[in-house]
Amino acid sequence: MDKIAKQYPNDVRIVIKNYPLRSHKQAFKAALYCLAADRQGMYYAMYKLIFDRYKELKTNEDLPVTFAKELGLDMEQFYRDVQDPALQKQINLEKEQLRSTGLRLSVPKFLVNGKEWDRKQSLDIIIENILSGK
Amino acid sequence: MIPPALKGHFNPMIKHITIILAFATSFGITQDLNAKTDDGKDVILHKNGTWEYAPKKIFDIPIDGSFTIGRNEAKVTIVEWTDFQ
Repeated sequence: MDKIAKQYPNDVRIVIKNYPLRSHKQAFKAALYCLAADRQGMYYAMYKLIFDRYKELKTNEDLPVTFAKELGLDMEQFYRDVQDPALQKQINLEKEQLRSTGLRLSVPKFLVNGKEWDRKQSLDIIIENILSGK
Repeated sequence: MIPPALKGHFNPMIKHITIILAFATSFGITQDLNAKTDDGKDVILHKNGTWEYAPKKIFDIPIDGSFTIGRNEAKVTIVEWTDFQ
């Protein structure tokens, strides 16, 4: 997604939604940390750090707190935001949105202009086709 | 009957569709049927014994406070659900 965002800064909008699987215990908390970072404009920086070092979360699910410090976030606000029930509500809303499609509940899951991307074609080709009106 | 274009992709999923088609035609089903493959894809079983993948549905998922990158006016919107795997 990072590559796509850089390749098509004007033509592509990426919406990131959470669907933390129950089998991945750290995933829900990781999503909360991202949303808390978002309140200080650092969602994507936190997202990338967590994504890159996800395996480390298995032994330390609060590793994103270290990331938050590295990113220079206001930690008092960060801790407060992580506890905010509104963030849990946001994650549950995003989960429900995927459930409402009736699509198979596997992640990552992508919709491109509302259609499920089945990965038979590369994203670049699909985007180019849309942009050229095919 | 398997469309020629799919012959090279014969797999257990298509075998299931063929069985359903045989069942449907044996019992004189007169309407197209909607079915789902083992891997969750929608297919249409035609009354003449052929089948095809159903056209992809278009979902209108609201942003609803989710994080976004890029311009609201962009021609392409990609929605990704993730769990950091």
